[in-house]
Amino acid sequence: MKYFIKSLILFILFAVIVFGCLLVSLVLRSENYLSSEFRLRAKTTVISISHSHLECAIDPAIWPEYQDFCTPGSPPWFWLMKLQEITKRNPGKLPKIVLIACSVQDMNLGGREELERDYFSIYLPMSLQHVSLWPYGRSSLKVDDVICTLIQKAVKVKFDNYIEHAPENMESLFIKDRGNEFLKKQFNLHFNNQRPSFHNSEEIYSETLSAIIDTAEKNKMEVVMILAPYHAKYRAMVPEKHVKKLKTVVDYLIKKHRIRFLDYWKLPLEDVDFRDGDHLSNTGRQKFTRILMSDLGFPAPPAGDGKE
Amino acid sequence: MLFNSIEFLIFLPAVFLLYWFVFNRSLKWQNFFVVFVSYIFYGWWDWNFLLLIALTSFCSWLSGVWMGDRDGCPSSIRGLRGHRLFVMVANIVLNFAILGYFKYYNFFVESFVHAFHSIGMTVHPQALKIILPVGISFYTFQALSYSIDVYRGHIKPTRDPVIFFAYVSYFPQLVAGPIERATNLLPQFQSPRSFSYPEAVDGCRQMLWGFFKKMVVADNCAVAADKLLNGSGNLSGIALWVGMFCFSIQIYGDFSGYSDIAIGCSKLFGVKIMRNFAYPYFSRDIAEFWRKWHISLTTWFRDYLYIPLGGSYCSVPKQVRNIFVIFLVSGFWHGANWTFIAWGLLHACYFLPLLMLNRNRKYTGVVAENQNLPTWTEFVQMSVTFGLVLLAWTFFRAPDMAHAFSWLASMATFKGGLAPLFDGTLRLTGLRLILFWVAGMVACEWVNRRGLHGLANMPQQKVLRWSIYLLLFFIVLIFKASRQAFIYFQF
Repeated sequence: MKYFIKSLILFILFAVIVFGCLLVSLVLRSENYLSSEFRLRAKTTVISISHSHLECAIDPAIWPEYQDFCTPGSPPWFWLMKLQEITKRNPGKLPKIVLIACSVQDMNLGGREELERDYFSIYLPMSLQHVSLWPYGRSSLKVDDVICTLIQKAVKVKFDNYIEHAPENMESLFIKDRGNEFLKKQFNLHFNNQRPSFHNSEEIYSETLSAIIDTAEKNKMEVVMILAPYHAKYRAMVPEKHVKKLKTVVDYLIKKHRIRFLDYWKLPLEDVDFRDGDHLSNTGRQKFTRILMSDLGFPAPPAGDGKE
Repeated sequence: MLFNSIEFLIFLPAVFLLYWFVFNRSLKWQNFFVVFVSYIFYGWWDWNFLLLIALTSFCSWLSGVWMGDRDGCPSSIRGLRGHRLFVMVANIVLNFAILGYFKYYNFFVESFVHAFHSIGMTVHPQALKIILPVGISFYTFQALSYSIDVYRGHIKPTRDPVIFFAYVSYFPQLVAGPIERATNLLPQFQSPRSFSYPEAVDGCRQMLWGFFKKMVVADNCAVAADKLLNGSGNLSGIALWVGMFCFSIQIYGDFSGYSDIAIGCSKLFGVKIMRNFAYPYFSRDIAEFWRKWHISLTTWFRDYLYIPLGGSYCSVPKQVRNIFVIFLVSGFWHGANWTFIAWGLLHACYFLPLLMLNRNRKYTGVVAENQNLPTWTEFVQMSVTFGLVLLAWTFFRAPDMAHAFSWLASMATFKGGLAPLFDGTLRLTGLRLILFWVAGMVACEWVNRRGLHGLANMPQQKVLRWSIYLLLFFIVLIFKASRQAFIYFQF
């Protein structure tokens, strides 16, 4: 009996040590947020929880009812976690509309490094969320809130918490780089030398978006899916199979949830309106914000009213 | 309390330590402790139903006492000839009345309403708005087997109510089996238990394997099966085949996983409970399948229904009747719905030709016993048997008979052609990962098919063994799907 208990304790200790190492690794690699940063402003009626495509496309300065929760490079699982946290932190004053982006690269990005990152930053936190060891409820950002804070303090590593920001350089690269070399680099990054990873499969992508829509519907919020504008040159380079992949997922979600899908893939904009192939510049986001506001039924302020 | 819950993670070690270190000095106190913790385990769902299980236990215990001791009977019964039969029948009637009230009342009411409606009469009987008590069919059958065994003289009745209550409510197998027999379990509660290191280690392994089957294989299959089969509108043939495949794996992983956890957990307490599954999907014909699937229920029906009806030692018409009766009752046991009855009848139709040709006991050993791989013939036999079982599960899974027939028609005609392969219906269900886990489970069970569970034979080297445990432990922790209730709790 004593030997059995000793062996069992030894095994548990061993498992805890291995798991602990994974946990530290996860926190060091993962996106980290503080729950307090998910509070909504009083007049917020529209939020976005996506990656850089929406962040660069919508200007909060023009649209006072809009609040941006996007993070560049953030995969959909974090959008789901953010939405769950937002619903938890803001009972009774939730927004009416949740904007989510979809893009042709979403199911493609993930090289060797990405694969490792995905594993540690997405699947481990996802599983830990469900272990329910912490009294914060099953779907809170407890890993980030509790463990991250402790580990941050222990290892004295400064993490970037969530800050509402757009990418630092919002000037158009098309104007600076007439040869469009950046475009080739960007395309290589997005489509070449990529390997499949855990979250960039259609299954996981669509499953996670579906969970986001379910969460929103449960809380009486409408999800609007947006395909942000792409530059014509970039569009021409995108392989057809990636467009088909996206269409499959979008069709599935529309069929399953009957959500609104706004397709700005071929929105006619000028070079100066694009920062790069798939992000808008300052001038582009101001134009696009007005178009989107109008499409969603919000009165758009006239251009040049000084707000921008 | 669910096995795959955080509560059970705390409950089990606490009970284990108290059982062996605090209550081990007195058998009576140890048994009392078993009853106490079993009631906590059961009451975690709903305390109200504790009264029901206590009533079932008390009546069955009392019936045993009365059957064993004529002097203990009330004078009104003492005077009757064949009072043992009377007491047994009374206990059976009472238990079936409880079961019928909670499980079958609404079914009969609805069936009568439909029957009257079909002849142009409208009736409005009151339907019950009650929740089915978890595991009621399991513990009722366990209690009934005791009464019948005492009546037959297979076992001496126990006068100690604590021992009997421990037998009926023993928590590892209380809510979803295996349905234990008094002849096996009661003697274990009547004598002191001793801790066995090899048994306990094997129990832990079996639990780990059970958790893998339930939380990784079954729950992931459940997500895909629900996605494919719960869709509104007409389902395509391919989607249905894939959905039913996922459901077939789900129900096996779910139920056999629960049994593995239960049996393994019981080994930690020095109590051996019967095997419930013996790799049924490796069966070469339907008769073998039924010797390996839900063994505790199948043998229950064999011993208490099939053999008393004459079994296979009677005229051919009676043999046919017996087969249909046993499969019909088995279907009805699973639930109050015509779909379960149809499922049972379909299996009877599968079984009957084997019985008539006297081939129902052709395969009684382990498949490919002295080889690593099955022969082509064995492979085809196993595939055909699995295919037949899968078709029958259609009735089990469908919400009603209309759906079941429509699904079967779509599957037979491959309705919708190959479109689901390209329109995202299949690709969006996470099938690749599911197939990976299913392949892992099948491979492990095939290698260990001579043993009692999927981790029965482990490498001798400690490092290798522990690495496997650790790997499996992390797989369960990381790749488990969202928590699903055990399917068989509803029965």
